[in-house]
Amino acid sequence: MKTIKQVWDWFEHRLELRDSIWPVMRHPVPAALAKPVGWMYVFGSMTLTLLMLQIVTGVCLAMIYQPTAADAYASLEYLNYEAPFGWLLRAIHYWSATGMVVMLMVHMTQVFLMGAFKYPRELTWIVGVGLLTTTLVLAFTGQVLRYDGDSYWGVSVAVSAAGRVPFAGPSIVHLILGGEYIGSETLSRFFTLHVFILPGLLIGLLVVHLYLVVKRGISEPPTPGQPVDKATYGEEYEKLLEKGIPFFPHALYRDGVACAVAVLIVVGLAVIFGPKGPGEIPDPTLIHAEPRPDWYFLPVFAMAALSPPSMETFLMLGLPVIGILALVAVPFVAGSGERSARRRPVAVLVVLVTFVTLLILGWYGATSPWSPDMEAWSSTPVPAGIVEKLSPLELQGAVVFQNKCCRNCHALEGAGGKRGPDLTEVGIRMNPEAMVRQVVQGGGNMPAYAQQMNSAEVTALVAFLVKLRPAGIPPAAVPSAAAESLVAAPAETP
Amino acid sequence: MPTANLYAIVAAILLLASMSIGCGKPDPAERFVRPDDITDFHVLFQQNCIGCHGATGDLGPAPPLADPLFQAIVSDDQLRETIADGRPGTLMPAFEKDQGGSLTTDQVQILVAGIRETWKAASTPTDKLPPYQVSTADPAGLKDANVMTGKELFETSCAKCHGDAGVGGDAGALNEPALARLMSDIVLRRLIITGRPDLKMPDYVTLGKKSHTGEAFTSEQISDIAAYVRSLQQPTKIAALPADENQ
Repeated sequence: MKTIKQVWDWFEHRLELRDSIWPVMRHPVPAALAKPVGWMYVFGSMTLTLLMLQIVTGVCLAMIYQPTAADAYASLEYLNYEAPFGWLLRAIHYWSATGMVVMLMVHMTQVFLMGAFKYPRELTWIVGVGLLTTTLVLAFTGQVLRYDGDSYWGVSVAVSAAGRVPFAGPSIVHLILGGEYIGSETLSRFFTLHVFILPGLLIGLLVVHLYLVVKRGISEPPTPGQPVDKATYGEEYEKLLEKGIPFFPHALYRDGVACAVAVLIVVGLAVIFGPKGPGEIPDPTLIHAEPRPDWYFLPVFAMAALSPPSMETFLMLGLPVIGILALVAVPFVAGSGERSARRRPVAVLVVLVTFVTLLILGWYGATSPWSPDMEAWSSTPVPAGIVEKLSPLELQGAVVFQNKCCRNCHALEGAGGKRGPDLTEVGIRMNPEAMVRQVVQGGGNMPAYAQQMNSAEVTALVAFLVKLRPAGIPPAAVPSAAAESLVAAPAETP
Repeated sequence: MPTANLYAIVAAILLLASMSIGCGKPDPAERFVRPDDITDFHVLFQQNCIGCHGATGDLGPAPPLADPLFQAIVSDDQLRETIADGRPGTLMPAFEKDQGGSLTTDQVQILVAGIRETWKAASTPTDKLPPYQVSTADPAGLKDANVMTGKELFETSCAKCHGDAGVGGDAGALNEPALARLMSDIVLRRLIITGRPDLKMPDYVTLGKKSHTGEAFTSEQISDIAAYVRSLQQPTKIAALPADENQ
């Protein structure tokens, strides 16, 4: 013991931690944080813990990962299948990234709803927006390093967006790719960004953020009817701290518990679900690839896919800037006044609308119903229950339905493409004449098939489609007005 | 023991158990394989065939492959040729790359071998079965067929389900002109021979015994029936389509 104390004293004499770290650990925080509401203040620490997990696993992965077009995919497969616990490292890295983004959003939502961004903590919020942006860019660059089909096409979309920047577009594309096409130079640049530049920026912003948290103090839980007044808030907060409690141990222990839970959950998810990818090889000649971004960008993916072409440039270049500026503007628009969410219905509404929108767009992005299922024609069988009811001509019609790839866009009993409507009961929605017109002329986002089918095929196909209706229900007698478009065909047609 | 501690112990045990099992560990069998390198019959069949021939080789709109009688009458070469080149003029597409498809020659061969292995042929000796193909020039033997004989056989057997003159019955009509363009002669012949057991259509033995002859159809009688069905579909053209459209 005496030796340990001597060593400690030797370091303490030089580092003087008692005079620097200890006062920070013991700085007073509002006494309310000792109550259950104190659990609302742990999200930032959880995010920081997951960042630490990212750094540790990232360093280990960087020892094996090869940032070249020729070797990147193979090195990921080596990690997955051969390196001892390589798969677990990759899994923890992925799931901690997921957790970090989730906790960042939860943390920002909590700060927003509790009005903690208001005076005098505006800069803390703004730096937090910088941390969110940097984290999302880190997530994207991480996805690119997982050099598979999703990665390849993700970069393609990103550079096509960058290429639309007025005047500088081509130069930016060249800068990102390191040449004219996606290859080793591209990977090398994204590796540098992901491993050196962005983590450095993130840590720099984090230091400023934590400095501001300590300097400006942790905000007290809001009380309805006690608005922030810039003239008096400082004095009131000082009085509050006079009755405050030291950060260590009263507040820190909650952080410790929450961070331990976060690590356990991430490791648990990593062990159970494993790493993500790599998926198909990054080969643009694989025409059946269905690239999809990681979940963080699914809402953007959906928005870009669903928006009209005239909006694309704005959505790619304008919307992210507007989004960031809107977040930065929050403390300047509502920097004082009520902090409690109970007195800020607009703030609650903004959060609800934002999350519902993100969830809906994310769901669309995950399912991408706008994309044809390119293999459905040959790999998704016509339901046996339908086949059993068909006549020889209708059987041929079903083969036409598969052979002409109608199935790639139209599902039967839920199986198949989702780009067009499910045709399981189309026989009660459209009559044969309307079907022929729709097949031959197309319309409503469906191409015309007059050049791809002969009259016998159309006859057989329509005979099959007419048969697609519940037992006992007669076929549609007349086309409704909406039968102009098969896509928009309503269900109420008799 | 406090509840919190109990939860912690349970969580730790679950985590340790999961780690020891390593259920999230990637399975090498699930590695991405280039489409050209797929050699598993079931994967190839699932990706390329079940859309028309059914998930288990039957109950699809196209004739079933899971039919021992069909497997008994068709040769490996005929099966390979049909998969590789398709049936020109009909809806069966060519699957071999040389013909514009997506499969390599080896993959076509794997499909042939797999179909053979999965749905083994009936034990009936081949020489006692009607041939799948009568000749190269006239696959279904329609040129020398007797339509009137076929009519008589049809009316005493097939008409029970397909109606007189094929106008339709429980099993649907056969007198649709569209069928003449969509269904090749060889497929028509094959369906008379094998029936569609998955759709309760009897084979040539059962049908023949129901006919006025009371015996299984012969190869010539099958051609006669096929010619009659064609005449119903093309009243002005009793003969078959040109041979090059019916291979």
